[in-house]
Amino acid sequence: MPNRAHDGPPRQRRRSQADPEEQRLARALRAGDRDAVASIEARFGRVLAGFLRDALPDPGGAEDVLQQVLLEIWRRGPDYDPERASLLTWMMTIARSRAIDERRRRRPEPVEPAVVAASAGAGPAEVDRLLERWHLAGLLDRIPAEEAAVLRLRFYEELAQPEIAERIGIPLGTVKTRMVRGLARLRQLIVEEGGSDGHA
Amino acid sequence: MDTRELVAAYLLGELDPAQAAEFDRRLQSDPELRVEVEAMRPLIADLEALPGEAWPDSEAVAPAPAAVTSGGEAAVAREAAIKPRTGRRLWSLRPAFALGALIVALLLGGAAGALLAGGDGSGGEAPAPALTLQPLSSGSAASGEVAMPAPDEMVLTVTDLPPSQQGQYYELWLLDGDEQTVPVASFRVGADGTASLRVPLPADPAAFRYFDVSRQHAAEGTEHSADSVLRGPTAPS
Repeated sequence: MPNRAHDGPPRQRRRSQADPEEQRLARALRAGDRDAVASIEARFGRVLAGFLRDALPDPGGAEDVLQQVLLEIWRRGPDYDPERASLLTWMMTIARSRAIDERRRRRPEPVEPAVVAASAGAGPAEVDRLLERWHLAGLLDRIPAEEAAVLRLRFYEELAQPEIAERIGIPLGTVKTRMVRGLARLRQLIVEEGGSDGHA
Repeated sequence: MDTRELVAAYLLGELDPAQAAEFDRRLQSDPELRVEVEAMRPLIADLEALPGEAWPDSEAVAPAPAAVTSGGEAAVAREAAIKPRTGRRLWSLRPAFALGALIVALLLGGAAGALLAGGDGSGGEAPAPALTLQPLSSGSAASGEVAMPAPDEMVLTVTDLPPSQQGQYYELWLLDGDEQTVPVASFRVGADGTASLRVPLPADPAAFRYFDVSRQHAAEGTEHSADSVLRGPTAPS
């Protein structure tokens, strides 16, 4: 994968593509709604937890940091400005900061050798690369489910297009259309999120 | 198709040869289009690198009712039988790269003419008519010809291709126009711009739409470079 890691958090830019669920969550956060955190976790927990699991060497520590991140999201929610960044980008930036803090703070502990090996070389640049990856994972939630499903079958399960057509039960032409549109839509989202040369 | 869809279709190998050639021509003269292509490439690479848990669950991947899919089963079964099943990636089906590298040693030079004219000399059935590969760049005089003297082997002859530079080689592929690229052989082109090679076929060409010749750079890995120079159908039109 090309190395497009950058030194700072995702660039922030006004997003133009509305996401009704994100807008609803953003309103709830700004209003200090206590239920907002549960909704945030339901919608973004997969992405936030996945990023933290990859960025931090200790799964237990990653779970602790996730709770810190969710708490900070709720605490800072009233200050969130949707004109500056999407909710996803804003939360990923918080997660990045807490991950880096955790890495700096962590004292040597008697952990399994495999855990040490897994964490070796994961510096800030690696954290940013992981952030890009999981940000992309978050964007997959914004494209139509049928397009995300086709992309998943193509890129993760590595099925050929005829196999995808058979699996889902749609014409081959529809598979192609969904794949092309899904990719184009993801690219558009990346641009809107502030990543002109890659991810936000 | 808007530009982004067009770029996605190009990178996914969804364009037919004429569309791909037109797109390549546009790439030569449209810097913004080149930027868009290069911007979308890493997206595809990143999608390929996403772990399973990064993908949203979706009900859309539920198996289809049998009645819906029965019509395509034969084709799917045939495709599954001939396609490599491991490491399959966009532009990167390289399970037979080692075979391709080995086949470089089989370059035959001027012997190809005799092969094209007389098959393998066994005196059996007449070989299938030779297939023509056309240049994908309008300014290129290159041409290619594919003959299949036996069901499981082929002879490729190319002329007027730019000589291979240091660290550069050409690769012959089978391409189905949907997504599959199967490497057939690697070869270099000498100062006279020609090369001929006789190689075993790693798969049945009938299951693919095109023979494709790409210019590759050794330092950039073994994936298809997307720099195709010749392409033609796998069967007479």
